[in-house]
Amino acid sequence: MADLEKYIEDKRFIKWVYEPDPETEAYFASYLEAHPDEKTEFLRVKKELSLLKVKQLKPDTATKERIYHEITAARPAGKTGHLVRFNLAVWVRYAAVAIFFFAIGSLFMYEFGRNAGTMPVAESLLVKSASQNTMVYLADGSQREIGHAQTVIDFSHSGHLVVENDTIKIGKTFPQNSKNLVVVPHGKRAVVKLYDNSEVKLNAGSRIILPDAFSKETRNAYLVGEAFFDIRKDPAHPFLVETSSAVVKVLGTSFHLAAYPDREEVSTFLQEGVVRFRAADHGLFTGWVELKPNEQATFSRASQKIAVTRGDETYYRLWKDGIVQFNNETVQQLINRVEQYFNITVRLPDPQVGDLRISGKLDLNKDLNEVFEYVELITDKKVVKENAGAFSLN
Amino acid sequence: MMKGVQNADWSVEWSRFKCGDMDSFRRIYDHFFDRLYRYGCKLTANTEMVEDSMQELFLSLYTRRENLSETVSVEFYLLKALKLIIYGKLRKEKKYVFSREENDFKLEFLLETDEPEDLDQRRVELILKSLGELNPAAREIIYLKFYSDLDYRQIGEMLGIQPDSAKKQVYRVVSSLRALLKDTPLELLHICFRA
Repeated sequence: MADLEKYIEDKRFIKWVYEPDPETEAYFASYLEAHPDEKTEFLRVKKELSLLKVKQLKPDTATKERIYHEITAARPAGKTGHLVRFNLAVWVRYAAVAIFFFAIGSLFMYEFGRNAGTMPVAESLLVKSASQNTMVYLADGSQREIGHAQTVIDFSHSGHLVVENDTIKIGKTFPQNSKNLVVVPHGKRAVVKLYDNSEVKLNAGSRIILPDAFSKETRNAYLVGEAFFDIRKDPAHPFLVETSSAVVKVLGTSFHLAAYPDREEVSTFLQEGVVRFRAADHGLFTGWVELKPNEQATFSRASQKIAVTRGDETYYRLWKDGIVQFNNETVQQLINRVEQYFNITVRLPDPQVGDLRISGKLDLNKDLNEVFEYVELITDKKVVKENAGAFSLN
Repeated sequence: MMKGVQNADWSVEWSRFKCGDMDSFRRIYDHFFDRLYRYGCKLTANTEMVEDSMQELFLSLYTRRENLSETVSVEFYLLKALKLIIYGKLRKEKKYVFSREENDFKLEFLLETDEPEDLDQRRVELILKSLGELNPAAREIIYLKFYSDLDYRQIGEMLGIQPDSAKKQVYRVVSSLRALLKDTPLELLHICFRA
């Protein structure tokens, strides 16, 4: 033991064996040159000890910088707390308004289970319902259809669902791990109040999936489509919104998230505060990307890269109120919006009209006739009704 | 034989940081980040949990800097605090009491050698088998001994054991490996890493 001790208790020798740096290497090279008689034993012990070398993960520099930034950017003033417990809230202490645009090449490319804190979602929930009405599918197996164009679906009363002044008792979750699902078809809209009183404004053609109750660790939701989230602040329970290709993590914030299956790009806009976002399959690019106010992150599925640019704050602020701002966009894009919102089809017999560039604001809260008046005004064309739900712009 | 390594005196940086020197905070962060991260990854395979815990650890230092105690070993303080945070999270996750027996310290031995011819297949298997028989606490002791600057007293404190016991385990493992590498017929070796 004594001869071993000479080596094992020498910190520099240990460093040479396990985590050598140029300085240590140089030191031992010159030492052994000066003491050739010790060389054999040195190398033998080094070899023996080398057997205890282990595989080491190396954190990437970006992770290191991100965490440092989160710590210092929070600028907490707190002075209390015992050894290692403290309030995680500090890194999003500012009320945040974040706006997200997600678009995905493929709707069903999602991967769960590999990311801690995420919620596994059965594929069937992503395709369920072809109803013309807003549908609520409860985790107890029952369902509810709502004919109103705009409705409030309230999960905030423990054990009960409140819809259109009706209180419905929610039974025992069956089968196990069943989820609550709200499906809003084209032409309809809904506000969903969550268990913690957070509010989600679901746009037409969108759906949200919720666990039967929020877990002790995190609050989870899964979104297909587009929604505005107003999340109650609860730093101890981060709120995670998943989509098929990205995850948004917040502790308490208001943000807009759109995850349409027909777009190739995923982009995120943050108005105020801090929000973190990453790919669902976060092996693609490790860890979270954090946005500062007025920044927009665009994730390209093709290049698997996120670019952060300055976003158009006005556009997103108006979007929240149902007003779509067009900046030099095509008539076709405007028509697509109207079609989705009102669940109608609008034909463009003259394809050149669709390519016209327009700018302005479109208030989708107005009824269809008023919206059409507006469309007629800016395109100088006439909207003609062909049959129920089908129009053309001549 | 060799002079002791002049250990950068981190307790000085620590005091400066306590007085509000943010450059010191950055230096402490930069110096210990990788080491802490790697140690954390041995406690759990969940790297996201490790990252969250690192953030918690440094953020708590940052917020509470004025109330931090003077410390002799910054490294020991940080490793211990990180372990407590991660154990706290694991306990929550598993929803049962996390006793020392449930220590799940993971090590993946590389068995790399400069002279591969010294290690025939039979010997490699035997070494791996022996290392595989190490219990998690022994793995953690070995790791802290060779991949940190903690002394035996601190290693003992990390694991809730006596310093002597930590030291004995280190020597037991190294002696066993030494025996396995000797030209002795393998069949005659009786290897025992455990106490």
